[in-house]
Amino acid sequence: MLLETPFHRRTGALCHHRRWRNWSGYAAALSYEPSHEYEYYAVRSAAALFDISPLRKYEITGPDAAALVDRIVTRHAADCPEGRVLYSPWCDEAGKLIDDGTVQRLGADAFRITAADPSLRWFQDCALGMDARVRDVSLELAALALQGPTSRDILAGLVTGADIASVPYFGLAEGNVGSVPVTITRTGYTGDLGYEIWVRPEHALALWDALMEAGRGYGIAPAGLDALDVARIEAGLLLKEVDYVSAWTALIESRKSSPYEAGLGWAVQPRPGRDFVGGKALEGEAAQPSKWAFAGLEVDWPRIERRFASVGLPPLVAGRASREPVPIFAAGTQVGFVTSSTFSPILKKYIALATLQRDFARPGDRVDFELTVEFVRHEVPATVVKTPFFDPARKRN
Amino acid sequence: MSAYDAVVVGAGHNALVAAALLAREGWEVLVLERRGVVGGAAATEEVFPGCRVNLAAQDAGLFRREIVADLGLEARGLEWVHPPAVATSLTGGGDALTLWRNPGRTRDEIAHHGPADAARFPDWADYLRSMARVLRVALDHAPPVLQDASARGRLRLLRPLLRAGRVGKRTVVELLRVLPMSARDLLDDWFAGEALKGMLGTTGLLGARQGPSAMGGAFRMVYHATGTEACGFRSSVFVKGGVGVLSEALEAAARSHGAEVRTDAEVESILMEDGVATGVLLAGGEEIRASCVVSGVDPRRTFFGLVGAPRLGPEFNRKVTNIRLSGTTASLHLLLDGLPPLPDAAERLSGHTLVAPDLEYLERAGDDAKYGRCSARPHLDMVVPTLHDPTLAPEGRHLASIQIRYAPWRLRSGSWEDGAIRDALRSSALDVLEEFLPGLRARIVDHRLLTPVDFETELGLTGGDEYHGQMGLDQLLFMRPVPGWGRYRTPVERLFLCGSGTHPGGGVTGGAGRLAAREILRDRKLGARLGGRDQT
Amino acid sequence: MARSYDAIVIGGGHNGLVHAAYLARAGLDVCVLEARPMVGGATVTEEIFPGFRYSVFSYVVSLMRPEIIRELDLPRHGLTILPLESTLTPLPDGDRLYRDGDHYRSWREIARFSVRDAEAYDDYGRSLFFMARAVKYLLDIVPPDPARLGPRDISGLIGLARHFLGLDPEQLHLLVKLMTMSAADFLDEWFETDVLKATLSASGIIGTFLGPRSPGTAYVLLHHYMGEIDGHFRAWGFARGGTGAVAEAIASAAREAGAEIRTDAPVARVLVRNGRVTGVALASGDEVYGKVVSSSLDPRRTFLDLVEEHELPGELLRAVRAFRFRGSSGKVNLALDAAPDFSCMPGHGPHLRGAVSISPSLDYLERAYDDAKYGDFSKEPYIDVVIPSAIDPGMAPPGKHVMSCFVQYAPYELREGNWDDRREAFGDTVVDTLARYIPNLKDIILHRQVLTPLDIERTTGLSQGNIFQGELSPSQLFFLRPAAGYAKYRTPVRGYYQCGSGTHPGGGIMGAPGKLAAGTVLADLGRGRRRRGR
Repeated sequence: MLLETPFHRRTGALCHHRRWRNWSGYAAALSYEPSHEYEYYAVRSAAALFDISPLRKYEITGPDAAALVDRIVTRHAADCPEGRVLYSPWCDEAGKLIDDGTVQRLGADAFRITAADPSLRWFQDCALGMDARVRDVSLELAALALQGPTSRDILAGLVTGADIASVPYFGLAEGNVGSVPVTITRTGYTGDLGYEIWVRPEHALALWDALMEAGRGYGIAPAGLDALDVARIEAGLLLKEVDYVSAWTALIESRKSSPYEAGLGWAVQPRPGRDFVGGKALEGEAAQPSKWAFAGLEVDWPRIERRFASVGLPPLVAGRASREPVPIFAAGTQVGFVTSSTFSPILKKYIALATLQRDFARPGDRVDFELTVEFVRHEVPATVVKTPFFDPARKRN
Repeated sequence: MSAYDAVVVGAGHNALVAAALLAREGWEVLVLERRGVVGGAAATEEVFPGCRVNLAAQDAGLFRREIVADLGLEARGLEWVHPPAVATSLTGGGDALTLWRNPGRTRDEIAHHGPADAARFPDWADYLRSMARVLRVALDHAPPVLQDASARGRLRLLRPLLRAGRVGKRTVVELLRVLPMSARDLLDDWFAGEALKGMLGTTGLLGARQGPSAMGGAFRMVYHATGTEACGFRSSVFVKGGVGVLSEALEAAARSHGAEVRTDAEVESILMEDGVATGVLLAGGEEIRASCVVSGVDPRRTFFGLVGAPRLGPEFNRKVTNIRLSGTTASLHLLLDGLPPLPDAAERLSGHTLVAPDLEYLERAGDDAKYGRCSARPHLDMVVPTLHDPTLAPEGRHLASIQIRYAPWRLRSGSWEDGAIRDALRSSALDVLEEFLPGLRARIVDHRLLTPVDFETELGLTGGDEYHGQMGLDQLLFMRPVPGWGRYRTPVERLFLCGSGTHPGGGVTGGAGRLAAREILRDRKLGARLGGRDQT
Repeated sequence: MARSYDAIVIGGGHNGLVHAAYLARAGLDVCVLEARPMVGGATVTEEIFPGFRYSVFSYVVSLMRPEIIRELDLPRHGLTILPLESTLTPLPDGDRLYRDGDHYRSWREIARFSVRDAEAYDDYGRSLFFMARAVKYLLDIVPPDPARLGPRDISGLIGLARHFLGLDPEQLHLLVKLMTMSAADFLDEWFETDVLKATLSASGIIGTFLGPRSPGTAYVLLHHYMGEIDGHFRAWGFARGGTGAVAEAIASAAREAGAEIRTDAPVARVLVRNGRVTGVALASGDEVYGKVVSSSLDPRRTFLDLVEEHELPGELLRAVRAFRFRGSSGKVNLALDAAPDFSCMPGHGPHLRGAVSISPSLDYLERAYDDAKYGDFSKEPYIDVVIPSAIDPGMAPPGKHVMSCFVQYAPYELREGNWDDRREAFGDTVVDTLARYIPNLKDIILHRQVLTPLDIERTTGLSQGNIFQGELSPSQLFFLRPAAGYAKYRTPVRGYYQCGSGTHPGGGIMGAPGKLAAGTVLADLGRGRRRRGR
């Protein structure tokens, strides 16, 4: 039995094709229309509205709140100023990824962490001996993501009590939409200009209605997970259990990944005297790198087209993003695998997120992507590139 | 620069053993004891005016004789007392069943109760001895490291097995069968007499919260038979002058090798730099630097109290949280104006005097503990140390120290702060005692009750657990103090454990201190070989 | 009229039948001798009350080794195992804990009590999966004998060491905990919700004379977690047609392979000449001869009842006499006029197709144990209820139901009175207890069958009514089951073998002892397909 999010009365009415997916026990729209194309382009050219309520949210408060968050995540959370947000993964003691999410600093002694999966027990166990309280506020907060070039204008015209235009990338503001108090963070999962809006569930519908109303002149469109998946791959953003397997769910050791192996090495920020969970293990890994590394791949699109054309087909991989693992070869030997891939409508390229042996994961390295056309396997050349694949200046400015 | 090579936290008997053995190797060692006397739970103090009382531990029969020889303790004032009675079970109505140190006398005594049991008793004593001999092999060596996948590590894993194998494969297999059994099952296989079974079953309760039907009781019976001269029961060997004399002899040995021992010096926390222990901070604010810190304090207090959970990983902390620490024993010390009225009292009461008339009595006492309350009719274990050394009390006076089981540290309703609960425990113990030893009550001049909470506050025993962690099969060997950290090391580099919370476990054995010292020395040697960075 | 066979199997329970089937498939001329009129032993379906079919004793199937199902082609012989995927634990206050295959719903249900526990539940499930996988290795091997240390034993021990040391150390530590802890202590490491711990611990006490706070129960918890259906651990199932259908399918496979199965043929003793088995004597006085005789009865019957004492060494006799049975469970089978209506989940619903566990708190279970410890049946017993007719309509007339209630504790030896006098009082206790959660129960009972441990012993021959043919305690497992030196299915009498649940890997409808013993017999006859590690 799937639950309905606080926005379901609106999203349910709009999701004409009943394309739902189970997202953490909630019904989440894959797309509101038969195809997600329009919704994707709303992200890149107007504004798309996503219901992201199924995310898990935790509030951490108390004199040791900063120290606790710092202990949990791999980044320097204690140094995150009030009114700012940071993205960070977190690890187990062995330095293997558990989950990733955003850390909002609400005050000197107050944080909010979003997580993909239930984490109360872990956060509380990390808090042992500290003067900090961890509360699961997942059911107390509904959330929408408004993503796209016009999102700022929509919010600027709607939100009172906060200057939306001055909220920086990964900034946070408290304001009101009509009489509804909201928290707005300039964050998202699309790699575009965008915001996430956090609201108490009883105000969810009012917020939705106000946004849809205010956005009408700005091309706002409710959007589902299919569009989000394409956008997040373009942005080079990882999806838990797809691009990496959490240390908690990995059935075998080799399925686990360290932040380094998942391309999140930049988020590992050792700080003397303030050890975070897994820090010691990651120190060792930094000194002696793993043989695995994360890489973005651009697959040779004309070759894909030609492979399909040779049997008289159009390139059938152009539709939705794929979460099917695909082997990657170099000189006939498997050197890794793709975890997510998609045709990028805006770049007109076929792009993929991959885990490759380190020696094959440097930008410019050439590898081969396995492509199945009419039940026959082929190899198509691909080039390792830096992520994000698509990185518009408006995201930050 | 470190002032010391090792600072030892706590001056319990294991800590003193470790300190003495490290000092003997030429180390600069400092022992810090919170209390005014050394010994920890093996201390003898003036509880009643002019009387020296063993606060918690009474019997030192498990103390490893190798340590006595190694440290020359007998030349430093240690004198053993082997009383004529090993144990006497009060069977009601002023009757008693005594196990004597003299096997023939024991056999005759049991024969009054059951000739078949009497005939089997010598075999039982041999059997228990042979089991204990094999178990000693495991207890006297540091536990294997399962994580060590190297060929040498694997070989080391086999070594104790091979040693044990020399004793005889059949004995090893029999031990494997017996260890998980309950005291009841083991005893039912041997004896018919309820009084005898009740008496023998009492050692199966030591360090556990369960009654005699609980699995693992047989292990505890064998464990307590690993002492010297055990003949079918625990060895029942005492120290002249009180068990504190043993601790004092250890202190003297440590000092003679150059160790410093400071009492009234409470360690507040362990100092660390980059995950490495560098010394300790005293309650007064004094910092003491050392190349390594050795904690004789129980593991939970060491990790959560002295290191602090936030400085350890959450997964490790879960393990520390999961250590089953639960005190189940209270002590009642009595000052008497004469021996309790029992025929041949001076002889019969010279060992452990037990109220354990049958296994069901113990079982019902254990049931109460299961539901978080004191036993309505507790099992009692009384020692009269003035029979070992009359000078412990003024002339004409006797001391009786009684362990009351079960008195759980965590009460389901009420609190130990509540005087009424303490009074109720005291009177149920005295009522039972009066029933089994009529006339005793009239001899009481003074009394003092120590509850598990008192053990915690006065002796620093977390949860009032005098074993630093229950002696269940799940908390032994490489599982003690926490799984994966069985070799006295900790996640904090250069912080070691040496208390009863580590292998081989509780009781006045000295084994943990001895093995810890050995491992620490080995570790430092290894460090020296790798480049001598341990002398920074 | 004596006939001679290659092999005689004493007892037509599921293990005896599995054993016979494997021997027959290897080409032996096999005869199974069953005392009762039907095969199955404790694995039987009987129509005690017209139209209502009871799985009289054993009532769920989960441990049955999948390779036996495959190798004996049991589905073709009529075996269908239907999933039993939910557990309902009603609480006295009208609340409940309901867990089923819907992960998120179960999560939310546990989270009603504790979010931490809901999170820990996943972690717990994964850990037990690892444990089951680690221990599964043991189910498929003949235990090596560390006291003998023949070449096979040494290679077996090395294989064992390699297997267990190859595990992740954390898993190995967990395994040690499972082998030694009480279910309650083990569960305390994960959970804080009493009812969750209670209902999970219930599977740790099944078939034991131990309470949830008794060390040793954590292992039994795992034993019940190892059930494997279609590659999933901890899948519980119900055999279509009742558990008797399992025995019948195996019997059919055995017959097809050429085995002869004689019912109403109780064996009085095993015939031995010069230390070698020659056959058996039936209670009727007839003798049946065989080169090999395998007993699927429990160790006490196998060694003390069937064979003359002088044929056996003293150490074995001592060990078997000390082997603990201590039956602790009873069974109440009810024929119902309508579906039971639970106050915590009224009306019809999928919960009727699952198990219902009367285990509201740890103290409840512990007190139930205390009663038994002092020689009485539990005043408020632990009851594991299934309603086979809700899963398999063929078990009762349309609209009516059969309800199987496994009850603990019911000690074999009562301190006061005897079971023949107290049987109905026991039945009343069970019905009264259930009626607290099922208000309409007393009005819909058409027929009641009460089975005490004594009845179980009388009917099935299980000593003291122990459903596992001997307690599953660490002192009675693996190379100690049933006795050190005699755990490899052989006996001191040449040609005489053991193949029941009293041997490794133990009880439950698993079939593994029967199969492993068959491998030993065939190897001894030089017929075995030599397999690595066996």
